[in-house]
Amino acid sequence: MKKLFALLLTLAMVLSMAACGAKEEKPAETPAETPSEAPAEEAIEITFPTMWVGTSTMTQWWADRIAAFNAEYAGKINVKVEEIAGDQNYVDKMKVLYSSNSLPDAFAAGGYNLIDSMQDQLVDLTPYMDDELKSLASDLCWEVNSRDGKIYGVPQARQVIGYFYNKDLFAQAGIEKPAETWDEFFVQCDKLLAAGITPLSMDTADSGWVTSLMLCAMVADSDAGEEFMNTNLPKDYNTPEFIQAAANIQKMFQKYTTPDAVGGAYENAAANFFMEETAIIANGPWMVSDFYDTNMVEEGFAEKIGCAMYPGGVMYNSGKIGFNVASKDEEHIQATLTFLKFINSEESQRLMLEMTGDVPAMEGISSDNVKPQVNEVLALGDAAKRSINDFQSLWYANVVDEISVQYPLLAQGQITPEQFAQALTDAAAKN
Amino acid sequence: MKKKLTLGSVLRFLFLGFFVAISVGPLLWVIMSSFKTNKEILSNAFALPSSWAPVGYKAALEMAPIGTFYKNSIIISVVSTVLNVVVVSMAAYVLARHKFRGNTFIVLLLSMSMLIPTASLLMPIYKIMTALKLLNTRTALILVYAALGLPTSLFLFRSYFQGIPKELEEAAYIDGAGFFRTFFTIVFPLAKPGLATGAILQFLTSWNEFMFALILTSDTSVRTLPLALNYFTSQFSFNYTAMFAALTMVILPSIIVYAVLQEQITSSMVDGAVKG
Repeated sequence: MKKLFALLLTLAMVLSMAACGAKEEKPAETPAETPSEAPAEEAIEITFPTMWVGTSTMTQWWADRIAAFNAEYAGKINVKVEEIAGDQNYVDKMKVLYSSNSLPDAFAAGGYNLIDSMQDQLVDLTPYMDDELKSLASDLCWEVNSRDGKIYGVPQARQVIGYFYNKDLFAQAGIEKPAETWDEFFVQCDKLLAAGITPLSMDTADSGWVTSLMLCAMVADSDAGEEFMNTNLPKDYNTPEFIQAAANIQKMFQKYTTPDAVGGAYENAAANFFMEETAIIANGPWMVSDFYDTNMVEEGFAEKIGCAMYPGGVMYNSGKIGFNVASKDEEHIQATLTFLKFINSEESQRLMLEMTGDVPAMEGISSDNVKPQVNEVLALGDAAKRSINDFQSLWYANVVDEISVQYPLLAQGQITPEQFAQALTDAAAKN
Repeated sequence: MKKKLTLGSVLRFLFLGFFVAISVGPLLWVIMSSFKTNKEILSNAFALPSSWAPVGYKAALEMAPIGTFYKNSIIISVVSTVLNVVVVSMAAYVLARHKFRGNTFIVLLLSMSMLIPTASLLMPIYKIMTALKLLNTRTALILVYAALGLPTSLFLFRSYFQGIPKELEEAAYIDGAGFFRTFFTIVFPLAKPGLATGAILQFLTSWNEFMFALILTSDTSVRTLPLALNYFTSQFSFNYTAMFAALTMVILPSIIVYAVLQEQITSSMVDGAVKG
């Protein structure tokens, strides 16, 4: 026993020493970490956490851009990249860093609105706006990243979202084209049901992204609703449009979706659509590359998929929260802006469109090297009668979190649409 | 001689079979799924894979720095477990054996830390580690994990030490052993089953901990395995095959540790059951 104890103590000491020395170790080689390798001594180091790692559709684009930036600014600027897999993990870590006043030089939460909750620690970019920076995004995109006339974010992408439908399943149900009104939409859902097809992919977890896109599109089916869906940080959800839309969502949960919708996340909703278990899914063009991935879907699946705008001519067509800057001194602010200008350059945005299907923030960027559905979605965005922003960009972060709590209750009939609206109003009131 | 099949034995067989199925079933499903393509997982969750080629494992190792995370998880879990067992066992021994003013208060105070939600500790610990310049080191995680397991280990070890006959220590003292010698050569070996239980709980806590690993580290070179699992499901994409392969690699050590120490744990549980 004495020997064992001595061995354990020795092991503890050796491993502790190894652990203490961990910081001096060179980080393991991964695509996103490449920039932190071999920094020149005089280079300014800026920090940037990325969620575009692993299976993310942006991983390859990000690795490519970082490598290119590194090559161009070697010895001048060194971007220390932190990999944070999972968008919710990313937001959680930013919250802790914000609380301890140690936000990184630049961060981008993939569309989550952290401007309003972290504004006091973000750099007001208005004085740094020059022609080069301004030209990187449309006015609409800059507007989404501004508060009270001050710019707090550098836009990266536009948000153009409609819904995708399976043309084969529509044909089986005798549906010729996507609905133009919500009444017609529900008639089509009934036809699909009658043909033995589950109409909708839905979810509740992680702010119920797919479900919430439908909810907000229904809200926007009127002038007042459209205004609501373009209002930043709404406080009152007790509007007739919102309550009606919540009632429709309740009906969708109870009648038109799969059993795994309640409690399910995006991947469950997507999986049902990929396996042709459901006929409709609301999502953006970044999903298109999966339609061609035969590891995910049957050969020829992509040819069956059509794109549609929401009934009433509604499309999500707006800017998206981009990169926020929280550098503490002028030198780092300048270095960070140089990095962001590179990452958002015309070349970078064109590559983003081609590699990820994400819509560039800059106007006039197009490419023949994209999947047809991506261009279809873009065309629908241009043709939309009503253009709205998405809930993750507009609503308070805690309201977005609250949705996941309330959707299952709404789905199971434990609360009424009015109570659902009130719950979100109560959450907004806490800010 | 053939054993007669009775209703009791059939029921016993069914009962045990049920528990084996719910314990081992999910594990086997995960391992089986790690050899299936995404399409196969989505189309028929219970069918056998069309190929047993380790494509998912290759993809998992390419997508996430699992090797580095693995090494870190092993170092951090083992060191924090050893640290926790050695330090807490000494504290627990003193608190179990020596009656002094404030003894109960100290036990209550340390046990009460079990009631503090981990989320509320994130910010203060982040600040402390920043001040200690331990941010982004394995040492930070080792210290935090060893401390997180303190109340559970203390509770376990203290009650175990209380069950060891005092006469054994008195005999050691009479034979001329000092305090430390008595603890390390008499009490510590006798408490092996209790210590093993505490060690395994501590190892599993350290092995599976996610939030502190995320918050206190930023370099991939010092991060741990639980963070790796998020590389396979992102906001708008997922790779179930690689995720299940990674999951298999992640849970394997826990199962091995549990299997190796299982006898000790069972023995400790039984011993604890008859203590007053």
